[in-house]
Amino acid sequence: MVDELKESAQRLLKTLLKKGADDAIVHAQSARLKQVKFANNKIAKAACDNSSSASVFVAKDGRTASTSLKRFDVKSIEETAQKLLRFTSSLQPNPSYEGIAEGPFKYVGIARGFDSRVNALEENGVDVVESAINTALAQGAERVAGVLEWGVHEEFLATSRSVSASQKGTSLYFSLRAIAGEGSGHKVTASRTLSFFDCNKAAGQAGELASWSRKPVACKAGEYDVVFDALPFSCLLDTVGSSASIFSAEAGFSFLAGKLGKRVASPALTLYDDATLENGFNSTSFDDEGTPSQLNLLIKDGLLRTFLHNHSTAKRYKTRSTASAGLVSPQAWNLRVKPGRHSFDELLSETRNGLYLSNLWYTRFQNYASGDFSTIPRDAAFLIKNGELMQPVKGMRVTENMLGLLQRIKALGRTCTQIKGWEVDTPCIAPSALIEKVRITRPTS
Amino acid sequence: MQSDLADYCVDFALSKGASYAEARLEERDSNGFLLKNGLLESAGFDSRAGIGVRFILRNCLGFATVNRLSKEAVRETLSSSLKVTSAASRLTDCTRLASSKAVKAKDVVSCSESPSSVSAEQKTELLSHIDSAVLSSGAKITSRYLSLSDEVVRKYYVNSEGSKIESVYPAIDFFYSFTLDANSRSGHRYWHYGDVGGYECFKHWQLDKVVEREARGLERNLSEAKSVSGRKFDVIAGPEVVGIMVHESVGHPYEADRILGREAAQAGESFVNPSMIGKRIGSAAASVVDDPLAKGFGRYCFDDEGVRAKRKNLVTKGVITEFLHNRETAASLSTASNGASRASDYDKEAIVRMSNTFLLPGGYSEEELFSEVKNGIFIKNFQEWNIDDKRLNQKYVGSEAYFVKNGEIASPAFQPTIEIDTPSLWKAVAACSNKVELHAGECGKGEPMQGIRVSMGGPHCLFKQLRLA
Repeated sequence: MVDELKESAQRLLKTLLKKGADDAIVHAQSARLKQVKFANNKIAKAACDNSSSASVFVAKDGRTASTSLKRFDVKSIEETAQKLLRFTSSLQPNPSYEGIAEGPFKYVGIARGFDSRVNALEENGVDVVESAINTALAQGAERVAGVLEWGVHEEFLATSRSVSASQKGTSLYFSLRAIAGEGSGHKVTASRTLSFFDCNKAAGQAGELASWSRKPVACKAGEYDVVFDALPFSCLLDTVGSSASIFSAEAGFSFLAGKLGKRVASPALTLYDDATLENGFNSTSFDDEGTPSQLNLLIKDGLLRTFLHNHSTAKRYKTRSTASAGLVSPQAWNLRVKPGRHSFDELLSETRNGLYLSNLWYTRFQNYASGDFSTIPRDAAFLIKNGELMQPVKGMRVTENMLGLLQRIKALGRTCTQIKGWEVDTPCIAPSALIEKVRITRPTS
Repeated sequence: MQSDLADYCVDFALSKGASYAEARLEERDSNGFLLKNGLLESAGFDSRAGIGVRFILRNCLGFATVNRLSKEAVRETLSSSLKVTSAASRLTDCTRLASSKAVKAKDVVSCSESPSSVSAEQKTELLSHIDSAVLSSGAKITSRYLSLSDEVVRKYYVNSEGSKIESVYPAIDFFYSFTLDANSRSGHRYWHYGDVGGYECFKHWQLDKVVEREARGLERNLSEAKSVSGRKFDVIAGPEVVGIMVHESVGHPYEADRILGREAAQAGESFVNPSMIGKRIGSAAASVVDDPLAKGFGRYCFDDEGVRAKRKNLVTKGVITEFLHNRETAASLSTASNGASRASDYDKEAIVRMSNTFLLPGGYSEEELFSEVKNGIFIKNFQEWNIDDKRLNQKYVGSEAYFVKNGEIASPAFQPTIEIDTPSLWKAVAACSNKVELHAGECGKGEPMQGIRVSMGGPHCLFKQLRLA
């Protein structure tokens, strides 16, 4: 942590309390990130981002407000504190606010959350990209595009309720889409350490998928049993994670609202939110108010066991915080699926007349509360006949209800992959999934 | 603003061997308020500033960003960035930028009710008033969510070719969502209003009336609507629906960086290729433009490469006539940039983006347009939509929609769904009304994702014989 930033955060907290704040949180963060973007088998851009900031939350007389610190000198801190409290006093009370977590707490570090080799990657990132491009091309890809990102972040959190916490971490993310003819394949890999980061494996798999799917035929509309690979299954689970926030449930953006204790998925699905996960991309020792992170069981054998809460929402619902602050909206950190017992080939063999989907995109809801939505299979997709992958297909759409879909999960794979991506905001550790009777539509004109 | 620091960045990059450099210094002052089920759950203000420096070193494009605005901090970040870019240069094609005239300009958008002139109390009262209007619809409302934010963005752009542009853009952004139950069905309406300017826009929007009317319309739809499933109809799409259609299936596929494969990994590519200029894609009644100079949420006078903004004629009478370009794509296709390069923030790379994209009006009054329909469907607004990453296979699901009988709006129709390929959609355009309406949106593209302000719209548009699901 930049010492100046930490000192500034502590100074700001003291100033806010001295000026009459009832509760206050200062969360200072700094990050050094690099990205190499590639397209058409060449590097398109090399980027470097250094940032530092401090977000500030304050409660006074039942009113709450937030801001961030732009400059870290004594005068700026004094002015920010004064302005924030004046702003807070001008607001309506927030009756839903029930305070912040009471410290002090003890924290456990994230296993394999930091790897000093990531910081030293520098120019070698270009070699990683070159190797991955060549691997995809060797597997039959004609063109590839994607990004490699790596970085180091540090944070410090201090609150008026005796919290003082800090942590640092590293992150690595690689995304490669391979194209061959009309076919394509997309794979991602995400990790906190270089030891679990295999770009060549992802690139090779994407290249193979592209090569196998180079001549797709139009897919007929109808009902199919669908094997969703880990990436598209994670796209679906991402919406489960956001629906599990009590904030989403109250705001009308959750298909899980009102379903606590009820069946929301087939017995095959057990889903955790695990901020403590070793090498978890979003793993953290504490949430945004300093509560030590924990493992939350969201769905057990298909039954909804909890919503995600911060201290304030938990108090309103007479339950315990799930260490999911977000001060306004509680959030999932890493969604983790309890693996099933099937190998990928066994999932296929369970399928007589079906589809294999390797990716999804553009998931949009008609009604978040009911779960009516559609999403578009992207990249390689294949018909499955009697347990065998057959010809590649294109031009279809999954038109479904999310609760209905989750309740038709028939089986899960036993191998889980950590997925993060454009359509997967919350990292998911997910297997492939076989879902029955999925409604597939296509353009009618 | 610390414009001298931006100048310093350009000089520093050139001194280290860059053949081109530009710096974009941005300061943003913003306020945000969130009302959930009638309670003010979040309120705040923010100030952020930072600098983004783009350069070409050994033919490779580099980009460095930092929010500590000191010479020491930018030197450190730039040095690190130059090192990685230099290493990347062995794996890059020659990055070329189309020539562009150096510009020195000041571009300040004025407003009568600036964000700073409206107090926090007034802003929260505005939200509470609209929230009350949702309830006064009388519908069985099950959730309400409203958010309001304002922002003033000050930019200083400088490049090594002599351009220096200062700009000040205020903007207002409003989002609302409500769910309601009727007739054992549930419905969800969420939409977005936004404009470049100040709080005077609320007078034009009349959002209290909008949300009350929409809640009643949705309730009636859930209570009375009948299915249209599987049949062909003449369809009149309202400006909100026309807007999403032009944005998704005309604007995006005409972005030249997609066409050239630069965004292939995430935002996708395009069914359009460079040889399709001059090819017919729609009926003669379909003309689509992207116009950053129009009054809308995507308004700007200079893009983020310092190129003067202009209207782009994407489709003219059904024929593909122009793509959206930045300087890099323009060089690749041997043309000039038409000023479509935009970044959502200082720490994001400027890439090819839309601005205000809309279908041009026709010669019909709305009454005359409806009178053309004997047995059809009017889709006033929508919720669910999506399109594949080549922009061919799209879907729009109506929310408030009605049957049209002999030119008159009749009973409600339940979620009429258009699922169609792009040429079929635009070839079905038969006529357009004479009044354009723009709607605000946030368009996502790039990795890391950049959500950028745009507007989209058009007139009421008559499509002949679409099969609806």
